[in-house]
Amino acid sequence: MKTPAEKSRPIVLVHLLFALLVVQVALPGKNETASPVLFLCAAVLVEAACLWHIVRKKNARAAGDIGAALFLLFNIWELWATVLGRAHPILVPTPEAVFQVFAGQWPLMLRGIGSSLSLLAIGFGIALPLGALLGMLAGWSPKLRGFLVPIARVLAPVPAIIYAPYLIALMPSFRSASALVIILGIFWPTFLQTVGRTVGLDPHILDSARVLCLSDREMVFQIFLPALLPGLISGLRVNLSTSFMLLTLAEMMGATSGLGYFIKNFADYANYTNVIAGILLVALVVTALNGLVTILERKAVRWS
Amino acid sequence: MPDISLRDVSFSYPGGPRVLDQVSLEVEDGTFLAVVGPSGCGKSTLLRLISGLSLPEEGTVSIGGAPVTGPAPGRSIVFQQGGLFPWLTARGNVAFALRKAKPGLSRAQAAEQAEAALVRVGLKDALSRYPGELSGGMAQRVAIARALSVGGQVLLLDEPFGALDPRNRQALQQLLLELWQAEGSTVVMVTHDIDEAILLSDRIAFFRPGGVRLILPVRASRPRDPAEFLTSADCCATRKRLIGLFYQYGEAVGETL
Repeated sequence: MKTPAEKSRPIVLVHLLFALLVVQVALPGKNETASPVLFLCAAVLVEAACLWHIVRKKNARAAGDIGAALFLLFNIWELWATVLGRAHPILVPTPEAVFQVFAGQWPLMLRGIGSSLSLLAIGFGIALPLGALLGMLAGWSPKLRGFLVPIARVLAPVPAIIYAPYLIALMPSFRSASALVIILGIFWPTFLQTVGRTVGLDPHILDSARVLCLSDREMVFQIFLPALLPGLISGLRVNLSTSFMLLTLAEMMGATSGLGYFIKNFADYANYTNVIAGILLVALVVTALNGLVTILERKAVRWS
Repeated sequence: MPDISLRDVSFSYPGGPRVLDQVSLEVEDGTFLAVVGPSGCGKSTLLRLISGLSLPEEGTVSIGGAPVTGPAPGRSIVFQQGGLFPWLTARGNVAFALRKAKPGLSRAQAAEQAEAALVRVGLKDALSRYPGELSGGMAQRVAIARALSVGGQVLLLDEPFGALDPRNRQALQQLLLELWQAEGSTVVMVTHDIDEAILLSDRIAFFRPGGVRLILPVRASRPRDPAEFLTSADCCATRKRLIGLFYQYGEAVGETL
């Protein structure tokens, strides 16, 4: 049990660590090679996000703890790499240098985001409706299910990235090859999940629909689709991480732009400052996409 | 002419025993048949066969002389529980069914009629709530409102009032009778409540495992006042007869005793 005093204990650690970080950055360090502006901006953003949560009293404790953990990491990194200058100069760049990459490389980064996200959109745009529609039909018709499900059981567990080297050789462009990899990676799981969910639908709902004498079209779009939508959207979240993994892996194999390419390319030149910045960028993009799915979930399926 | 007629109908669910065995039953146009009997003796199956949701293995089910080959307009069914579309509000559920049953209806008209139907079953404050936000009894009332507003020549009810509190149950029984008399539809209602069966119906079919054991007519005139009618000598004799049958076929009589 928490005592009231403990409950209302103000969240101070995160602010202390933030202040310490600012002091460290301001102090003259042994390895000050890059401008600290963007690193400080990032720290201020984190602090602002924590303050926002604390003021709104929504997940305040968790936000404070996460912020504190992050600032602890920043402090150690800053102390070790910049202030003391004891870190390996190539493998562990200073935080200032890493964050400054965003200033210098933003056109390449932006192009990478555009290229990766458009591939992702193509993959999802084809695989998701196809998997959902075929899954619904197979869930509905035992004949189609008997044909497709055994095939899916063989093909679905094969990691789609396995196809990448061959598809890159086979397809006319790298983009079409990686789009196909993403499609293969999303289609089969979506199909199998949708079959399972269709078979598992409440039989009373289907009986009610049948009594209303709906046409096949109405059955699919007015009954199955809304009934399966929550499952599809929660599947979206899982598929998103899978496809992002596939995409970046594929990009490391042969792309000329994209987030995975950004990291791989600079790794080839042992520019780990840019590599770490690229990793941060991927984390940001994935988080933003996940946030979008959450918003979609709230808007599209208010009833569940 | 929606006379419902079953001739030598047999049915079993896949891998199960025969639920109905050579059952024959006639329900005259515009009459109210109550179906009682122990659990698992095919009462709900009877409704599925009449609605066309299931087809008999042997024998024929026909309505107005035409064999039943599947669900068709003009037949509505209320299930024991569930059957609402969880992604539509209470109003949306009723309006959706209305627009399917009466294709000429505009969206606004359907919503208006749906609201009226829901107000009649006492759900004025739940129009915009989703089924997941309703109690069992409220959801059941939405399902009843849906079936009653769609109407039709044949109304099939599977223990429709089982989940309701006594006050709502009585109100909805009266509502059902009013609509039945106004529309002249044929009603088949499965119930576990012997008093409900006696109070509402023209005839009571007692089902034992395998099919109909006997059919008892309820001859009292309408309207029947519940308090007076249920204590009358006629009614007591019918009740006694049915309770005897329940004991004979091995099930305690449930909530009315």
